[in-house]
Amino acid sequence: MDKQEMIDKLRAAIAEEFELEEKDITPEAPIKETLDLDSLSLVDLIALIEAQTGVKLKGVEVTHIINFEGLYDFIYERL
Amino acid sequence: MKDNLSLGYKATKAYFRLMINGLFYRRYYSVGVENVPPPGTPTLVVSDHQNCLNDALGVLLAINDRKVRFIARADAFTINRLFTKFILWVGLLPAFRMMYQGEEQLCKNQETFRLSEQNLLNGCTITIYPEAGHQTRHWLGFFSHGYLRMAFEAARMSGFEKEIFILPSCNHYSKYNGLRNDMLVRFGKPISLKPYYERFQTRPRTVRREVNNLVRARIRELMLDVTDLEHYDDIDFIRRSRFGSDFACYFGKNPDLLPERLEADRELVARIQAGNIPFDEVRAVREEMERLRLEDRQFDRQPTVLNVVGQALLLMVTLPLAVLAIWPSVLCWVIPHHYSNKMEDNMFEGTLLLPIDLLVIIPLSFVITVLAEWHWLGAWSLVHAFALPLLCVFEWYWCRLWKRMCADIRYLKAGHRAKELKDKRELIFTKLKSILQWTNKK
Repeated sequence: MDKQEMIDKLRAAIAEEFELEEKDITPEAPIKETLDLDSLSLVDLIALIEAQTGVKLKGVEVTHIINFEGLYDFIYERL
Repeated sequence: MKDNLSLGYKATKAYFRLMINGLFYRRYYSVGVENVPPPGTPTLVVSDHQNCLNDALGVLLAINDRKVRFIARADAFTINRLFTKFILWVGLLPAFRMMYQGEEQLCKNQETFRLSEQNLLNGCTITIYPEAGHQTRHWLGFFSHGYLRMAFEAARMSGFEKEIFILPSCNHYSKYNGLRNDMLVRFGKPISLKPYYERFQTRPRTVRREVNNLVRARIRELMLDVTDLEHYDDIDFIRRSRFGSDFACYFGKNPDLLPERLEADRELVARIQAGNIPFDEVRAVREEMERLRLEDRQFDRQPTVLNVVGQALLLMVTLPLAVLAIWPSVLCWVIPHHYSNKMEDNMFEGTLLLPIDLLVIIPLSFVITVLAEWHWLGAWSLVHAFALPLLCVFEWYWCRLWKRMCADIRYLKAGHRAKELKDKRELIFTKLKSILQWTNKK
């Protein structure tokens, strides 16, 4: 899976799970504010990432990532 | 379900009320209590979190006709086995937070959620602080949606039949640390979740976001929310200065009454945040005052040598009583106050003072006093024992007078520098008055 393919797949899955428009999930958009990410929805996000990419992240790792671009880079490095 | 409050629960609450009203706070206010839904209505009180355990005690005292449950940080349950039993009995349930207990502990919340959902269905009132940790400033932080998951899950369990209410609430303090401050608990209009039930079943996250935004907006209407965190200290300096009091008077509010002062402060902060304030000048004065350790009150009622002599005489005359009041003040507040000042998060001072004092120090010092003095004083030892809380308050005021005298001596020593600072402060106040359109009444 190349990076763009991964991004498209993740963006679509996140939009569906978090009931957002795909256009709202821009690379620069802050994760916490866009997804209203609390600790419980963080668990959902991590499960979603694992289901879509096979990458298992820790909650603490994700909380340090500011925006979606950072999240995609972080996941791609671990693919 | 209506709670049948046990005699022990009622007596504990009465004791808390007496001590908190008479000893810990100068004045305690509960505003908007008429907005609290009647007992038996499933209600989730959602509040800003300003001052650790004191927030919960504020709500506990404001709602009298039922047992109020609380969802509190899980680490409060690890302090001591006896204390854990006590807080469970009072109605606290543990919440595990990722930032405090780690993500592997989050699954333990299921038990708290399940119990709370069942309690809601039984018509209980539960208080929760969705900011998770307390703030150290008058500011509303990020809300975790756990409270809405809980509320909607309870609704789902009832087949979306039971009407569940969210009651927005705020805690406000005249000052966070020490004794004898003013505290305010304020309730807004309850929000029914029933209109959201249908849409929730297809768009749960969207509905949670919407309701969360509404709840936050309602809490913001109640509290002092300083959003300009970059200039927070300067805004707070202006608010707490004579300028803040004058503004409250101009705004038709009594600055000495916390509910009225809060209204005036909200307006003042809104104007400051909308205006083009010379924060650099404000900061310069604030920092110079901090450096010289001077207090705002001194610029308006300038201390004289005669004042200092008067204060010293008063301190000397009352010294014997102050010596007598060392017991149990040293245990009640001197050590906790000193210790919490050294803590990284000194917002725990209230928590250190209140439960330890109410549950341990005061009862223990009562017993020790009677046992130690009974042989010599007989029944008079009881008089001394009952007077211990009053002696604590006296000691606090005695120490405050001592600090004031020291501050006044510093002012006198500062001489012309204090005079220059006073002029700069007045200049800023004049500028602020013009920027904040003081003359355009409300």
